[in-house]
Amino acid sequence: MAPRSRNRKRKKKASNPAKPPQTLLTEGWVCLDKGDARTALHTFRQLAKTGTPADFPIFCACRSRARELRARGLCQEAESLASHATSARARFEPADLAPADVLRFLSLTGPLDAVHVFVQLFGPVGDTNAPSGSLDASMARGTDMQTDAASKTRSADAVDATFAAQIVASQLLVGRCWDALHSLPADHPLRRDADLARQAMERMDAGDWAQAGKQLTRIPRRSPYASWRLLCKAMECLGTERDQEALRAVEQLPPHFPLPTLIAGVRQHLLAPNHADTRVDVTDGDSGGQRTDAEPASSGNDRHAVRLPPLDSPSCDRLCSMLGLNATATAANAFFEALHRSQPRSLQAAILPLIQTLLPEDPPTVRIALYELAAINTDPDDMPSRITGTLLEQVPARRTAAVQARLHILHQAYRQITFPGYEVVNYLKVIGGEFADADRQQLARGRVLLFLARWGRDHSVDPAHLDESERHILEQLVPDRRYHGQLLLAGLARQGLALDPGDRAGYELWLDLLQRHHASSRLMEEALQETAQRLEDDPAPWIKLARLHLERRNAYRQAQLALAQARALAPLDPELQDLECAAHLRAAVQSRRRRSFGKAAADLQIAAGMNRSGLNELLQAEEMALALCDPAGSSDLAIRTALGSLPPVRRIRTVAALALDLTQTAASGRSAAPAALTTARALLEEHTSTLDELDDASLPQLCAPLHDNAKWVFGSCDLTTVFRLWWDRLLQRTPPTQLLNVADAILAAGGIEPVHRQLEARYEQENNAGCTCPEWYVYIQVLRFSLGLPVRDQGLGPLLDDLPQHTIEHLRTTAQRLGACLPAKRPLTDILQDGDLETLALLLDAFVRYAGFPGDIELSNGVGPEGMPIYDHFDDALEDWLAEDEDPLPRDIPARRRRRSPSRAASRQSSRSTAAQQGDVEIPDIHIPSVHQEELLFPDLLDSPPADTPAHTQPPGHAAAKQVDPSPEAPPSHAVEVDSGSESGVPCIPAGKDAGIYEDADTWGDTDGGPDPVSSAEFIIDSIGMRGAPLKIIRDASSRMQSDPESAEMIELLRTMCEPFRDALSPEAEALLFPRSPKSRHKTKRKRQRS
Amino acid sequence: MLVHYLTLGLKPGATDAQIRQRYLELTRQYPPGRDAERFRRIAAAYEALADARTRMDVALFGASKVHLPRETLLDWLVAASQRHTPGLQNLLEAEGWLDE
Repeated sequence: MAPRSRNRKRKKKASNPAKPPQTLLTEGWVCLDKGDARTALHTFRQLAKTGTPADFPIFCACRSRARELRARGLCQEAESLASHATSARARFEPADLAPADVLRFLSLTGPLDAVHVFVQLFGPVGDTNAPSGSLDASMARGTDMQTDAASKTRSADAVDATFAAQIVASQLLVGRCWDALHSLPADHPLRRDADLARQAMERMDAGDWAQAGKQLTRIPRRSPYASWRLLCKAMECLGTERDQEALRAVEQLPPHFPLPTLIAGVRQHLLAPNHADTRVDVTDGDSGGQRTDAEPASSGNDRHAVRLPPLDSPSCDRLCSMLGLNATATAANAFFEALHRSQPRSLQAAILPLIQTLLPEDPPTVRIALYELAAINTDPDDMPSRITGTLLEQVPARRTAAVQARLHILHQAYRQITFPGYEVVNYLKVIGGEFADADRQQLARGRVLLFLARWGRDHSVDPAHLDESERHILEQLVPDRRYHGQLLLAGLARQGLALDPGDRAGYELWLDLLQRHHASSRLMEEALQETAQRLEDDPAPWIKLARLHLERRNAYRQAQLALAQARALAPLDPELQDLECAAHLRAAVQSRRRRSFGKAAADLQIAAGMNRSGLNELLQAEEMALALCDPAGSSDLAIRTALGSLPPVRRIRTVAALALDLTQTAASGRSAAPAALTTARALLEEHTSTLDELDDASLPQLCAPLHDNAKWVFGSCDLTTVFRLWWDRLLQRTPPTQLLNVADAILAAGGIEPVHRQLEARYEQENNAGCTCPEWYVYIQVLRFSLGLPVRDQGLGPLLDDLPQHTIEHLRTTAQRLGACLPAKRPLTDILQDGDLETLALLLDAFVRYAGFPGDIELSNGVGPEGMPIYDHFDDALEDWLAEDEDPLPRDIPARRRRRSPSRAASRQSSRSTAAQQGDVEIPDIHIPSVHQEELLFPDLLDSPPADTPAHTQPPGHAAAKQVDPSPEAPPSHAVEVDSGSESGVPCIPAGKDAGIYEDADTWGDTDGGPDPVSSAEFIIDSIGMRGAPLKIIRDASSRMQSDPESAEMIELLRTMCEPFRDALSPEAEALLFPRSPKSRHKTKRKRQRS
Repeated sequence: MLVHYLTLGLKPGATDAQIRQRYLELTRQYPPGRDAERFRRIAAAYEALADARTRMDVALFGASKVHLPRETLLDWLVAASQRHTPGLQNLLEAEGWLDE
């Protein structure tokens, strides 16, 4: 050994003089009682080196230390110490121990050993209920460790058997070694109460402490297991925050209870600060600052001073966190309480510990986070300023302003659910308060703009409907004027991407917004080019660009260039390959139509080489078309031979595609060899005669749509129209399981009548055969409605009443399916697409039955009475109407009923006029007194006038006295919103008006002479606000008329109506109804300049 | 955003590497089989802090669970303040009694 370390050893010996064994023993026990098992073990080992037997103390220290290590997760080290303890155990006998040591041994040893020793000491004759003497713990510890044989019996007798039994009972619940009890008599309390204890233990394991406590109420109060009732009570109370009761239960637990750390932790957290006298923090410098809590003031067990030491403080904190007892929990509860009561002082007191718990290094960040928490769950404007001030103390004002502005965005977006345009602009002005760093600020601006655009997209915001000032300030954020107006949201997304260019989802958002708001193809192309350049590894933008070019009929070459770019990134993408093939087919079609047969053949050859199986039908059709059109092409015979080699269904579909293509060519005005078309038609007739040869299973394949990409080649994917002459035959022969599939295809092509005809016939057959087909029944009823026929049998209502719920749910899907293919109008399509069978039943039953009402009710998209959407109003009105009387058309209809659904009446009028024009609607022969019919159907101003009067001059209610002959010129009314400031007594569009208004309705018919044109004109102008600010619905319709046919129709009708008295209109109204073209505006400007 | 740092046991301003390292440590310590709820929270916290863009989104709008359905500070504090009643086995394990 080196001299240096030898010196160090001598110095160490000098500084640590040997202690007498008794001192070491005492110190060791003190350390162990305090919970410092490590030091105790070291001390006892030193004791052993002095020659004093120390097996029992070492055993206790090893067991305690092993428990500590196991609690920390150091299982291997714990096992090592446990084996040391086992070795020490073998060297002493529990019977030789002093009474207190016996109890300590029973507490610290393993459960099996504890039970065996208990049985050994107290045996079958041991009477645990008899009072026994106690032994002073200090005497037991201070005297010899081992007793002689004479005192052995005295020691056992001196041990409190009741106490020992309690310790063993706890050991049994810890170790679950119930079999060891067989050596005890059956009436021994440990064995007698074991079953109940086991049942309770199972509940305790499951965390159901209340139930476990109830189980344990059945055991006697003196039972060894009785203390576990206290634990169950304590845990139950802790869980329900009955802290005082929990504390009371915990303090009654005996000191040997096997959960000392839990008890110490619970006491620590639940004892109030002014009870500090009961708490003693004992720190020991040698043990590294471990502290223990004081003993309970009155545990009543002082004479049995066997106390299991609690584990170290981290274990204590961990246990308490497990229960939800920790500093964070306390601080959080206090914070919520103070916030709830709006108490600034309590809030102040609660925030500081919360800051210490969460992030003591950065109090402003915690304060802002807590302020956000408080504000987002209330309205920031509603939070008292003193609370805000308390929360945001020491936070700079700039940062506070930015946070508040940001929270206003969230509030507006998610509490008020309104477009947060103003809020975003305000936030962008103060964003520097939150993000001083330039890069972060730029990123933040970009994210905020993208957030706004995304919110607008997700909530279907129409920029045209925003406030003008809001739109104006948002447009200032978008420098590119092409993105103003309808494309504002797309512009905001674009600006966001300029600041945060790497956001892939942002590019998708931008493109989606452009598409939704019908951006020009040039703008779309620019956007796609930019996206493709930014997202260099993504072929999707190139594919979309190719599709865009294909939509522009002459840009298929550009489409091919875009596809080439995409192919470089994803050569095996099947969608891409299909699109490329379709582009070549398209190019071939174009070349053929221009009679560039060589180019067409070259493109077809490339397409054929790509081997896209889904496009084979198109390819073959195009090859035949080329052969027919090209004078140098194959003969008809060759074409027929080629067709003959195909399977029957494929053959027919190829010929159908050929016929479709050549027909479209002819329809487009392009030159096409007439003979080609004739040949194609002949081929079609020839091959469809083979329909009878097809088996029933393959018939539905005839009407299957072409490949998706056929729309680029033909403009349509649907071959069903080609088979128009064979629809009946197809439907007749289609098997029942496929019938609706074929019916859907034919309906989409406009074949309502044949589908209806065939479904009726097939339904009769099935019905007669005893089969019910509710799906077909739904189809039949809806088609009858569409054709203006009365309902079949009793209608849908009785059917729905009889069906089970799962069938009704299936029928909802059927209705949705029908809504997707039936060419009908609102609200029928809405009802079908919603799967709303109940309203469908009412609709079909009610409206078709009377007055020859055709199936397509046309209502506008405006707002009806009381602000409800027309569609909802329609539902309510319908239900009210039908619910009131058995016969919806009683003879004497009170005038008040005219208030109901005026737009319905007007739309009926328009439908009647349409039906009259069509002349093909079957009007049921039902007698209704004409005056009541008119009252019901045409109660309002915008009734159709008599044929000899202008449409707009009909006074209110005049139609009630006349048999109205709906004239084609009669303008159908649309649900135009009445300004709240409009004159009362206007029956046109009652918007929650008083009932009294309609009391005059009875007198409306009592006019002398004919209609008064002037007063009628003024009435119309006033009712729809054309003297001043036009109604919102007219402004909206005017802004949408370019893209929405219904709005355009509405404006056109209003224009027709208002034309004769254009001079009476306000400039704004005139501008809406009679917009001047740019040319005329320019001319006017030049006139002004000249003048 | 503070809550996600708290869940991972990091301070705001930790680098990407530190966030990732801490995430891997915690997922090893609390695998889904052991504590599924905790694992879910750790994964959500990591997802919120994974890159600068998501960190910015969380910093701007993370207070609202509607926009970003991840744990908010309110959730975290409520969970921390809730009382729990673990089973007896858990208590004994925490006291170091098991594997006797």
